[in-house]
Amino acid sequence: MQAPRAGLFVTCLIDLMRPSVGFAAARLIEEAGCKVIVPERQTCCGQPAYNSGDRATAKALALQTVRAFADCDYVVVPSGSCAAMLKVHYPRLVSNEPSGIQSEVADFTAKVHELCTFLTSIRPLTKVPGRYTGRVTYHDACSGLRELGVKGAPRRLLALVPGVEITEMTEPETCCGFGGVFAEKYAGISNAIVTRKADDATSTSADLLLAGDLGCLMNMAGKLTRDGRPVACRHVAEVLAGELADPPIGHRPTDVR
Amino acid sequence: MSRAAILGRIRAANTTTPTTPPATPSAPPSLVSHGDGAIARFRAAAASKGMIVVDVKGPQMLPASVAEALSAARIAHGEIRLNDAALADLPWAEAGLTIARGAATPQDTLAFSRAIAAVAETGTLMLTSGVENPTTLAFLPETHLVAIDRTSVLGTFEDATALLRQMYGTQLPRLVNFISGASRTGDIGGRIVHGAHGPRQLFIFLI
Amino acid sequence: MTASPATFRENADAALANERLQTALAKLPGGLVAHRRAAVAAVPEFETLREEARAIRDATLDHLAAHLEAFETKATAMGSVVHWAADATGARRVVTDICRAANARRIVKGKSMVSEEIGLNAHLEAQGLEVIESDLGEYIIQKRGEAPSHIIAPAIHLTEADVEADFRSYHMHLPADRPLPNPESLVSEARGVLRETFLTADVGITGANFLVAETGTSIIVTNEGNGDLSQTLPRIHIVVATIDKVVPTLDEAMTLLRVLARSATGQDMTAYTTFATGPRRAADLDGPTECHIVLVDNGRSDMLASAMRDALRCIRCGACMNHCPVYNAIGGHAYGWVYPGPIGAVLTPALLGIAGTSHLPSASTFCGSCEAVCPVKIPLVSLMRTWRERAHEQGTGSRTSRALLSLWAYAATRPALYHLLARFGVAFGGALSRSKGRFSRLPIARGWLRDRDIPAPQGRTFQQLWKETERGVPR
Repeated sequence: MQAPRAGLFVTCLIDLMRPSVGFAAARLIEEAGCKVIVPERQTCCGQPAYNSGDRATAKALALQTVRAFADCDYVVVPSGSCAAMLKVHYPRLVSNEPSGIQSEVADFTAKVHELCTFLTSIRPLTKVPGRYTGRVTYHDACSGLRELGVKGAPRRLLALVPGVEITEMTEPETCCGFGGVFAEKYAGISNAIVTRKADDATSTSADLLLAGDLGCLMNMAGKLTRDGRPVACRHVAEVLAGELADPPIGHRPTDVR
Repeated sequence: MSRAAILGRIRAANTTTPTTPPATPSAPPSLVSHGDGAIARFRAAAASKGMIVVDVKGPQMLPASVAEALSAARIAHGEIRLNDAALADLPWAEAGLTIARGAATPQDTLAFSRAIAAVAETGTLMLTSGVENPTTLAFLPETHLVAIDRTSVLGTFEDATALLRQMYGTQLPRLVNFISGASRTGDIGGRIVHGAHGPRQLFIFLI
Repeated sequence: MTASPATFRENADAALANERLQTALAKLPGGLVAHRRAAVAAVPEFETLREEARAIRDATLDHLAAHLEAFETKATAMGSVVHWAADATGARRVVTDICRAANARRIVKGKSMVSEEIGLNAHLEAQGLEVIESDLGEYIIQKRGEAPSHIIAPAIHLTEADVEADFRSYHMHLPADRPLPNPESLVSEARGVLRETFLTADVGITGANFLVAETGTSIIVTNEGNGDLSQTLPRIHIVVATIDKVVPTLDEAMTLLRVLARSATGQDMTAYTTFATGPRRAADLDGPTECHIVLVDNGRSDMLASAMRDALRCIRCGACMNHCPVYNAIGGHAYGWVYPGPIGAVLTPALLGIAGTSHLPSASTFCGSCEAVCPVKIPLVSLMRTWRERAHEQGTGSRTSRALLSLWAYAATRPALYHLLARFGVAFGGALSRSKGRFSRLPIARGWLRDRDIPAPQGRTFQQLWKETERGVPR
């Protein structure tokens, strides 16, 4: 039987800033018995436009994305916010379009899965390639949590990693203050929010702060390194896949953790 | 003319809504109780809100219960303001207490009301305004005493509205007060303090 | 107070630097947030209650005109006088006329957000009337000349030390050396001072949490008892309420009350939930001789016809702002107008126009905590996004960011071009930062870089590397 074709929605941040997460996700999707396809005609899910009020660009990107993944059986997304954009918001963007386009998008959204959800509910893994000895804590990024219900899945997967000890922050579900353009536009407020998160993460004495969203991770890592705090950040896929050759987010190549 | 303009704009905004109103919801099961279960639930809920619940064996025993409750709480046995005829008729002098009829005055420290019902769901008293139950009794003095018959302890707020309908139809008295504790505020430093403007302490006498 | 929604950025900066405010705000997670969580956990059916509350509010709005007319008919039959005010000016005039006709001099007020919205106090004072706020939080801020910073806890931005200092400077008739060591003593003092006001006021003005059509009743939900004293002792009672407050029946009011206090303060019922219907009856020993109800539109009927309709479900619990990370960071005054937090971000542009208020819906991370706790399920994030769309259409906002967005959009919709630009961009960025792993300084993203680093890109794009692996090039 042919392995299902799982299209990897790379996300613009992973593509540009941290491809190793993309390779980690691809490794895990292969472990789940799928052939990984990376369509070239994908750039961005459209959130920056959508959340800035530019609905027209968002819709154009939605149709571009939908068509790029037309011949995939699954669309797997290593980001809660991008997955929510594709799964929850694309249908809203085309709600005034002819029914042909609406069903094209509906067929697409049915195939979309956030990475951890994919690996626990759709093509469940019973073991993962990664090994990590240390204490980790997990940040529940807002969109994945509240729009897609991503909560237990990452933790169940982390429990499969030999050597990992999971510890929880006091407020894992509280926003990290990223919010896309918000982080620069209202930087003072964003900083106040991420400071709370950084304090919370530091108080767990975890070695690693993990999450499923690179935007959140870059925000939190940027605060932690600026403050010189000991907690380092990685995408959860890196630990699950054992993709740990590159330094944690924002760290020097010499501090490998 | 404001009224016509406002209603006109509202109607214009609502031309495409043929929705049927939903069926009126009933109390969620976890909040429902009856009979003795309701009395037990009421007692616990009221106590958790800082109200002191006292069981009284019969109306004639009420003044003695009041005297005892006030002493236990170290509240001075001042004159008690009330206007309920049946309450006024009880043996207050024998219990060493004095009463005065009327609505509350600013100098009163103690007042006695009758609640027409209590709601076990949240430990809430339901009082209605009237000549025998002036509202000021419940708000002006520092200590508020409330009498309620055990048979008037209802389970839920729906039971309470059913009672109101039974007693008044849709012509309610000036005030229906649902009281669930002494006056309180958290406005200063987030800490709860009692006796903000209304009473500092509430006693409930279950007869 | 000169802060406005237009100066949101400056307001927020001032708030972030205000240590007293930050101390006060730090109490929210362990206070109102924790209490709500406990109250909701105690009711397994809470999600069902939310859905029922939403349905009640929606159905009421769908038939709003009929319910308002029914309310007016019944309230009038019970002896109240019902007035209609299309806007703030009309509402102020109605209230002033009632006070004049009653030869009133002193007015005591229970808490009412709509009275803030229409600028009632300032107007009445300009007419020579004395207006005293009786809700303790409102009393405190009235003396400070401030607006409320939260819709149910108006003085939440102040510490105990602030209030002590204020009381010492206002209550000059009391001994200067009196001890005020704790909140209890401050509350006692306020109780004594305000008692006099209740007893001598000619008019009591309250808001209404709900107006019940079935019985012509106004409902207030309080803890202090000041609303009750305000509507019982003075000879005139005026209720000021917006048209969206109407509820068809007593039973539906009960369902809404079940979610209101739990969402607001975590109480299952507040100390006082009072149903007021008409003036005193013939045999009553106390109560007002006149009861007036002023129904205020002030933009609500326009909202009903707009994309903001769902925001009219609001029952003013404050849960959204309690759970908002932005509100928790800057408090309520930074929003610059009457309604703060997520509901403020949606309502303020609706009532004042998006032009000067676009910062409010913009300054959100869209975390969705507000929607998750709203007892009537208002889709606050979607509504804020809709305002961002309006602002974008109207060209409001920074020209630079619009230009950048346009450039980005041009590239993103042309994948080949995008990937080419991306390769150059990350190669350049990667080279600049490779040894350090991060940027601490750049000519762009200066806001972010003030307090945070930007992690370095790894130097090649994923698309580029993937193509290489497909060609068999090892990583």
